[in-house]
Amino acid sequence: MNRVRETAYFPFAPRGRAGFIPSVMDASKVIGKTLVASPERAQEADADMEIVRLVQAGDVAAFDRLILKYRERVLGIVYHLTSNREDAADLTQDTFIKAFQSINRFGGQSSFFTWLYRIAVNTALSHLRKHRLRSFFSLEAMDTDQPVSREIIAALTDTSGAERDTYARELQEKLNEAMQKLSTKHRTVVTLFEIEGLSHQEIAEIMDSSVGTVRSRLHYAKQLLQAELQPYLRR
Amino acid sequence: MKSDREKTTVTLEDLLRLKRAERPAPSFWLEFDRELRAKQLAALVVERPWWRTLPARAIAGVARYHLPMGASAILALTFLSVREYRTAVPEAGLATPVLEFSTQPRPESPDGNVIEIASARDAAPDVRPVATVAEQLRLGAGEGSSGEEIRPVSAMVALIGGTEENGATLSPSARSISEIFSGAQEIASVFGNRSLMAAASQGFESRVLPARQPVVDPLAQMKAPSDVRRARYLGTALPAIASAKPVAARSSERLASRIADQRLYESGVSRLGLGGDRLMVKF
Repeated sequence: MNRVRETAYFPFAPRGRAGFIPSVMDASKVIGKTLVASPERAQEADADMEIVRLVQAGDVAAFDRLILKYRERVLGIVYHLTSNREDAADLTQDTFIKAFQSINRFGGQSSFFTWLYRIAVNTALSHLRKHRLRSFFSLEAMDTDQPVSREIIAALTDTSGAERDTYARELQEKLNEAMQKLSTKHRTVVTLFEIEGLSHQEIAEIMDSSVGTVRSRLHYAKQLLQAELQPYLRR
Repeated sequence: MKSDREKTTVTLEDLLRLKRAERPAPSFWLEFDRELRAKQLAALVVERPWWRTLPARAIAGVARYHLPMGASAILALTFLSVREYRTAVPEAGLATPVLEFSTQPRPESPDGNVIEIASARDAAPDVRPVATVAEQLRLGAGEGSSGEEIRPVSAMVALIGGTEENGATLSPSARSISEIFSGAQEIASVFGNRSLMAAASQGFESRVLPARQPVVDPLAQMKAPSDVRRARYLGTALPAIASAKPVAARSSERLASRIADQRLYESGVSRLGLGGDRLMVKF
């Protein structure tokens, strides 16, 4: 596993996991190299690589383990990019099929999840490019029983019961509308960073761009979203 | 205190975190897995390009005609083999630049039957070595012949490197060749003194020298009706003379033998007589 392990803490990163970049090289030159930001991610990448080797050796059933492991994350990325659950399901399946068909070409230059996310993002962006004139929402039901979402919704409204659910649905639609107003690149950065929790380096690797570009896009996208969602923010 | 403070501040990151709660129901994954399995199986079956399936399609299309095609192939093979056989055996009357063996008595040879190996007609430069060998064979046969015995073997063996008379000096190869040729002589005598060597040499020569045979007009080979009639009359009247003529030797012999049988039958019938309860035989 030829991974860059010479990492140093990057103090300006908003998250701890995203704050590790190579110490000797410029952040803009890390494209194509696997960056292991945390020991957990390194173990995960090693486990993925073992499964990938099994699949490359002919064990097709081993690919199901990768599907089970990553299907929710891939679906989440594609869904937040498209805001359409039917399209998201199809595109997620297409992502896994593409990965399965080209897994023999995967040589371990990057970690498997980065490679898989790149396929997912490219598939979704290609779909959005083809159907740029046809866009409508088909949203998943928001699970308001989760503690985080319950707290946030409770902070936004004083009502309870059915009114809270109605407010949550309205907030969900406003969020998706604001996201769809972003360009695909900005939407991708926001999705990968804020929703999926990837680091700047990982996003840069997935989007084949520099970390600076990712930061810039993220900053700009947040400004737009804040302007759109100002009525729902409380300071 | 803490919960009140959390309620009052809701940031953009908190709102975006709400989107994580948009998750499909567990039943969704059953359908997802089923569709994904179907797509995965479809992806495993890779459609072959048309140029790879073309031979299989061609074979499948021709498969229904395999019986007539096989029969046609057999017919073509038979036709070609018959044609090759006919070209290998030259027709009578056609001049071929081949070696000829004949058992006709030569006037300059006092011994009677001597194998005559004629040199190639229309001798081409390529034929010359073969003709030289044939001449040497003829000379050797003429010198070593005794009585009516045909001695081509001794001549050939002498050419190869040894003499038949002194069998002790024969090399093994020469001895085997002499045995082979003596066997061929016996077979030739069985087939009515037909020269087997001539046929063999013709075949060999025709293979060595694929000379183009002169085209002979088929009409020129036909005999005039008057000649045929004359030969028939002569054959009826004088079978011995007719058979001696070399022109229609084979047909007149056949005619003479048939007529002789007829005459014998007629004479036999005329000599036999039946009268009542008697059988008369005239001598």
